[in-house]
Amino acid sequence: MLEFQPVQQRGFHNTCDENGNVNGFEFDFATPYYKGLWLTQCRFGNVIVDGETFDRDSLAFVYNGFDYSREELFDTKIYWQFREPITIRVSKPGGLALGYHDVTFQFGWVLNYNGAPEKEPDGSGLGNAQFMFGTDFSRRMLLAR
Amino acid sequence: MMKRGVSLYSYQQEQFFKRMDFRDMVKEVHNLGCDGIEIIDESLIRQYPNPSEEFVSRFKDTLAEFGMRAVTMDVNMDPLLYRDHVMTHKECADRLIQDIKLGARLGFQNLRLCGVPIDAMELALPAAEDYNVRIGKEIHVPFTIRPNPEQADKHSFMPSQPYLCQEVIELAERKSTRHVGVIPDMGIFQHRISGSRFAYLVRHGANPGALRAADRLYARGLRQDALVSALRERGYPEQDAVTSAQATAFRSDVDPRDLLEIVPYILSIHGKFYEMTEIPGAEGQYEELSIDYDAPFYYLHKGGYEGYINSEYEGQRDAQDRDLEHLADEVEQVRWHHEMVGRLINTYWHA
Repeated sequence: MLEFQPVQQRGFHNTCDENGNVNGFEFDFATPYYKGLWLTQCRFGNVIVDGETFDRDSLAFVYNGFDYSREELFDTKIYWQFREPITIRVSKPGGLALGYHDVTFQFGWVLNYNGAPEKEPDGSGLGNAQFMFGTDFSRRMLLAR
Repeated sequence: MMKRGVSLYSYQQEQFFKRMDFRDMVKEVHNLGCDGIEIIDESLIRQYPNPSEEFVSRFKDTLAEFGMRAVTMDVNMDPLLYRDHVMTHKECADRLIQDIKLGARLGFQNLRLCGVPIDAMELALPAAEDYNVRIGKEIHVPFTIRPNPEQADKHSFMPSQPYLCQEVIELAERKSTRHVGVIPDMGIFQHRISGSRFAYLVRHGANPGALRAADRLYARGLRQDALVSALRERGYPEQDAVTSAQATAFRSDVDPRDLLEIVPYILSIHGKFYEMTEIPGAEGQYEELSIDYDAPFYYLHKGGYEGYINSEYEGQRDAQDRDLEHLADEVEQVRWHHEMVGRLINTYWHA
């Protein structure tokens, strides 16, 4: 079941490599929009946890069982089904400490309600839909494992 | 007589919390005493853009069970879909043709388009005629019915098309087709800050007096910078002046009389509303204080409109910063909207 906030508490946990060493963390994200989007029209940004920034190009995006880099997503022909979360995997040796964390995910998309293509307002790489939904989706979440 | 229906977008929260499934929504609309169903393809169709045959039959069977009609399917166009180029008109037309086929599969009469260039509509027109699915451009804020180039510059983040409505009508005339038209959204008749938005802004620190003043000054014709200055002169702090003026910014200010000229081209109407409230002293009767419904209905009747108006409730989103128990009641709001719409239809079409 999806949570109402775009950043999902369920699924927020540290990750391990094949030897059982903690190598990062992951969480799920669902768009705040009222419909699904093509992955190519999404603009995935950085993850910020407690003030520490994880660059957008260091993240892995897991959809439908496959992981993609941000660049790779631009060449897919995949429709991101409405209300299906995507998993964002962040590498960080040792992972995050157990306890509460302020997690922000920057996300935007391009849309077009008009005939003329709309320009991104600020050069952030986060698309032109910001005027409706903003770009920084934050949530304080409990990391339990 | 104008016919009633509901866009299932109105029940987006109910869908989210899984309190209503598709059949529940169709049944609820049926119980409103009407038969019009509208959907957004990308929010309702499982495995969009290629739903299974099972999905399609279940969709059609459910409508048939309650005697409902698939009136309008709202589709989008994303010319910026690819990073390396803006889609050509041919690419846009190809996507629109796919949408037309999908609409036809589900039995829809109309497609609501936004962001589709007029040339792409023309390219897709033969498919619309073959599949007998009419394609209509939405006239949504900030668009207008009459060309209004000044209006176009008001919304820098959203380039407008001041000649949009005119272009569509010219295409329909030039091709002598009934398969091209427009879908006005009642939001173009908004004239004050909606009740739901007002409450949201106040919860987030806006000055209620400044918001009310902004509405009154707006009604006197003040816009943008002039409106901010007028609020400043009245002694409101800078932040309150700016916030309140911004709250009035996204409007079309369409004159309801303009509808008269376009009635033959209207495929269906979005009955946009934000908050229905009971009319003081009239128990069981409701009104939408921020959007004029009365005068537009008068002119729609006068112009001979016989199509659908489908409720499109959007005010729930203004309460989604709140706790579960304070979220809007979508089912009740749509019922109240139908009380008003039904009453106005009776007033004008039965008079």
